[in-house]
Amino acid sequence: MLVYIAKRVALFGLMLFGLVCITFIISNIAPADPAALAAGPDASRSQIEQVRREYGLDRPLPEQFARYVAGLARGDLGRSVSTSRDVTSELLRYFPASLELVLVAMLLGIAIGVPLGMISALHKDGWIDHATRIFAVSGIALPPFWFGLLLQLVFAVQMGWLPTSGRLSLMTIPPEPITGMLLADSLLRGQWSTFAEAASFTVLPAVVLSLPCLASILRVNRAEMVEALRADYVMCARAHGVAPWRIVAVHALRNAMLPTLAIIGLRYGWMMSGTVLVETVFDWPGIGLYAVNSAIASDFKPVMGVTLLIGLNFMIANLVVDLLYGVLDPRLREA
Amino acid sequence: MSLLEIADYRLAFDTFDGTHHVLDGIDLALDAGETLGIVGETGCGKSVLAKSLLRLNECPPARVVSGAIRFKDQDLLTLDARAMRSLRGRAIAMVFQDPASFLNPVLGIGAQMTDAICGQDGAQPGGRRRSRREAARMAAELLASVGLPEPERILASYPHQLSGGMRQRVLIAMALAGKPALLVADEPTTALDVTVQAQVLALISDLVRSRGLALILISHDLGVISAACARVAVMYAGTIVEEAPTQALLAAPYHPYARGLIGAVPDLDRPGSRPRGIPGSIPSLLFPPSGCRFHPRCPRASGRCGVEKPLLRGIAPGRRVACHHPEGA
Repeated sequence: MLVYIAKRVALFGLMLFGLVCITFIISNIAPADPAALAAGPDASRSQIEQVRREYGLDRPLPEQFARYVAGLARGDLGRSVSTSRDVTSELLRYFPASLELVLVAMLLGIAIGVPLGMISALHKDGWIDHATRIFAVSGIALPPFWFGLLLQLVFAVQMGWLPTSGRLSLMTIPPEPITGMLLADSLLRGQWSTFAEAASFTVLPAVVLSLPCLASILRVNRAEMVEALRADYVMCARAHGVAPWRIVAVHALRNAMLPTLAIIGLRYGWMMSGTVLVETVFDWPGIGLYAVNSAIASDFKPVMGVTLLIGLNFMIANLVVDLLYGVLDPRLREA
Repeated sequence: MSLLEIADYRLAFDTFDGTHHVLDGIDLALDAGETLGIVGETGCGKSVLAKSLLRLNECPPARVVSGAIRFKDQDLLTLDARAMRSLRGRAIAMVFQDPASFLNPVLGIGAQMTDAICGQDGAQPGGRRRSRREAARMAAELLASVGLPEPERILASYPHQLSGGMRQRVLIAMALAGKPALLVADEPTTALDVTVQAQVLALISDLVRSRGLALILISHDLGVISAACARVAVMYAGTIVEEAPTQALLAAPYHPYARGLIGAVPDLDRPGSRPRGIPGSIPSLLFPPSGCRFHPRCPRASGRCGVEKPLLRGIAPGRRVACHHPEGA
């Protein structure tokens, strides 16, 4: 098991380096000139050149890359040219909001997707299976920004049950931050009414964000469960009189969970990047909205920071999935 | 009264292509403590028949067309799911072909065995339920009884850490957990190395003798069956074509198919003689041949064979054959 973990972690380091390279290359092949943008629209040529020197953009690319990596090692992601604030501290401020949204959406996806997948597999080709199939296909197909607007219209504007956008109403004082996630902080501080309010603000964006994730978890889990329920070991368990619920929930599900876990890990990463659309629709102050605002201002450093952060999340999620694989599947522990 | 009685059992599989008539009027009886081999080539329906005894064929696509399977006067085909579950492992237990795929790869041996033991308790309404610790102790005893050293270590391991022979012993131990009266072994040695085959076969024979079990042993290998079974039924394309004491069948088969099957076994005492195959191939069960299902391949077939299905009838003491023109008669 230790060898397995060591291997995964070593691979993680390698991938991290690849990620850093890619973000650096992308930012350098983009057509806009960051120095000109930083100097402003009315800057003269000499002023632009001065800014270029100031930001070190006149140095050769390898040197720029070395400085970029050295900065990363110190946790320095550079400075935003439009707000002239430190990207790292801005990301630290915005990231918890996104993480909260993604975690709630993930939870919804797993808590609904896995059982629905199981039920569909048990009633394969029954009406319930067809219903979940239609639900899943539409869940993947619906564009999130459109679906988000639709939910806002119905539940916030027409019914008035839920707030339209934001994280808390203007009048509410947010809890003293511990994690930066409002739901967690209000719970930890015992502020129940704040928790309820934050939850009501989270429902719509979390539902919109989780729908494609839920749908793919459902479909993968269903397919894997169908497979597992047909397996020889399930017949063997039945032949030995093992309780039917145990066959489904332990013997079959444990096998079906391996591929399902993989999709959960991938979906976590996709949702992190999916926050760009959802946060814009719901005015959710997270990294997605931050990235969009920075991109509109052609502000490179924050976009690179967000890209790196999302990529890092992707990789962490996959590392966690790999480790969980080792826990679930004894055959991998020795590999 | 027989322990197990199968009467005119017909099973069909409804698939996209149409209805496959997989079992066509099976008649068999087995007394307590008796050993019966079922032999036939791949696809003749012997495994489906074995699974039928525990109602393990998925329905649909499987569909019982007619007949009855009586175990101690209970008709297995009409029992409700709970009553059927309480028989599984307790009255009839099964050992499967490939121990690698019939053990769950992600669960420990201990978990699988205690699940089987506790599951059988749970199926008995009002019965005493053993704790998992008690079940684990019993599992260790069972493993020791099938000749596995260090049962504690095996309980703590996973299927991929055991050899094929050990896995098959584990499956046999699991089958014994409910103290069944009938053990059904479906090709228990096919997936094993030859040397291990002999050990596992000897183990099954020992257990059957010492515990007084009735045994149904399914195999395509006449050698395996003659080593473990007193009586043998020969299956062809979903029907039983001959049933006889094993030695009598080997010495003088009545049915042309049984004769062909025996003739296809290489004779090691006469290295010069080549084994003879049976011409033709197994018929499609989607459109089985009319009359006797063997008649298109049969050297003795007459016009009657293509029209009239021969019934299994007594031809000599202890011997039954389903043929209009049996050999030597």
